[in-house]
Amino acid sequence: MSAKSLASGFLFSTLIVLPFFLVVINLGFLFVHLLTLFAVVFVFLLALWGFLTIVFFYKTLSTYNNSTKTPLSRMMWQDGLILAFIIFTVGIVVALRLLPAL
Amino acid sequence: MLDMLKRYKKVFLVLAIPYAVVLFALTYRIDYRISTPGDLSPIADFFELEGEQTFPQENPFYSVYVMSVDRPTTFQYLLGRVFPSLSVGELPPSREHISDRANFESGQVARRSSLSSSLIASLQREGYEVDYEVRTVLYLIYDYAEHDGLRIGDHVKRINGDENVFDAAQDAPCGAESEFEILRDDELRTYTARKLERDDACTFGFVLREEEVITDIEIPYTVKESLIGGPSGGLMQALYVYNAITETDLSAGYTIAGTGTIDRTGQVGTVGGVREKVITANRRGVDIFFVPHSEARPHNYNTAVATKEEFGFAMDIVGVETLTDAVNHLLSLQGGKDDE
Repeated sequence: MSAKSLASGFLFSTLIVLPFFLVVINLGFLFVHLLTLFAVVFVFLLALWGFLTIVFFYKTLSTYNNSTKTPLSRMMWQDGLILAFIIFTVGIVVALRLLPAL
Repeated sequence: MLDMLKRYKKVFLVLAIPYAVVLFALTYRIDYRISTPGDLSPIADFFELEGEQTFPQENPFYSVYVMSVDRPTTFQYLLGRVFPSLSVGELPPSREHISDRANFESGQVARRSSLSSSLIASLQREGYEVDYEVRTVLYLIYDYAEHDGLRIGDHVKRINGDENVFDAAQDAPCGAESEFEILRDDELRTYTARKLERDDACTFGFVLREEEVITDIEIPYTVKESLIGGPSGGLMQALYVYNAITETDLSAGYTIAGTGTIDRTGQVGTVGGVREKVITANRRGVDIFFVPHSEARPHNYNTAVATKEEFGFAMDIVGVETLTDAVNHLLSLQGGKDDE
């Protein structure tokens, strides 16, 4: 069930954030002087992607196992935010190192 | 999740249509070119002069780079039509059949060549000895070219045994293989390429051009790696060199940028993307912007002045035909920015 839930979570979160990623990439090529801003937004979207993947993962899991609905719901927000924080922090550090090279 | 999908099936189906339209607009590429403002590059980022004959420079001189988005997405195209700082045009036929890699590599060759021309023009103007030889290099290889390993930047010594490579390329038989003797990394190599019928002409699918290669120079210099390519920084490079070898600081407190190719005699040549370069220079607080201008080719200067007027920029647009024009203009401002 976990693998199926993870796949669903990944699919739904991707469907949601994909257009936003594409908008940022499209804009980034046109407005180079705002590259730093777009890089931050890009990293934010990566974090959002991770967060939504976790949220949808637990949501799907809870539909398969109703008895654990409450603890899963708590874990959903907790794990989602932790993952988003890690992705955002690492992403910002990497972006700040890469940007001067561009 | 599946329950949710089933429950809101109609909503998802209705949303799928605008979703598909948005994805299409963000990914489908069309045959246009969008030119966008870029940024300033200090000339010192490209190369550095060394030795006791050089003087420290107060302000760096800047070249300006702009970005070209070839085959933009539909969304980018629409933005290009809305924002006045972006220019939308047809994709030039000269850019067709050129890969991004080939485009980048030929830009690097052009930059390398323009560095040599700038050094020769500035140093010889001040009476320094510069020895150089003129070589023919492969400047561009189109996607459709048939060859067995030639590379952009190769020094072409002979084609079919003939040292006059431009004539030899012209005279090479159509449909048959020709032998290219090239120098790469100080090693002589031989490759073959076939001339092909294309658009009512017979061509190898190469562009050859001459470039100066400095063999001996009084003032040593170091060329730095850069992702920015193209020959349009030539004039500003020449000014940077001239400023480095003369005691007077030409910049006089001004922020000076410009665009224009340069040849070894100091003649300034026209470039593309002038409108976006002027916008970029203004964004970065440039005081003086040099642009190519001659009676025969006034279009760069006219574009620069028109852009300045359109946006109400305060910076000075200075049209120049030669390196000497640019030097004289800066010498005339020697009172400095603070004295104005």
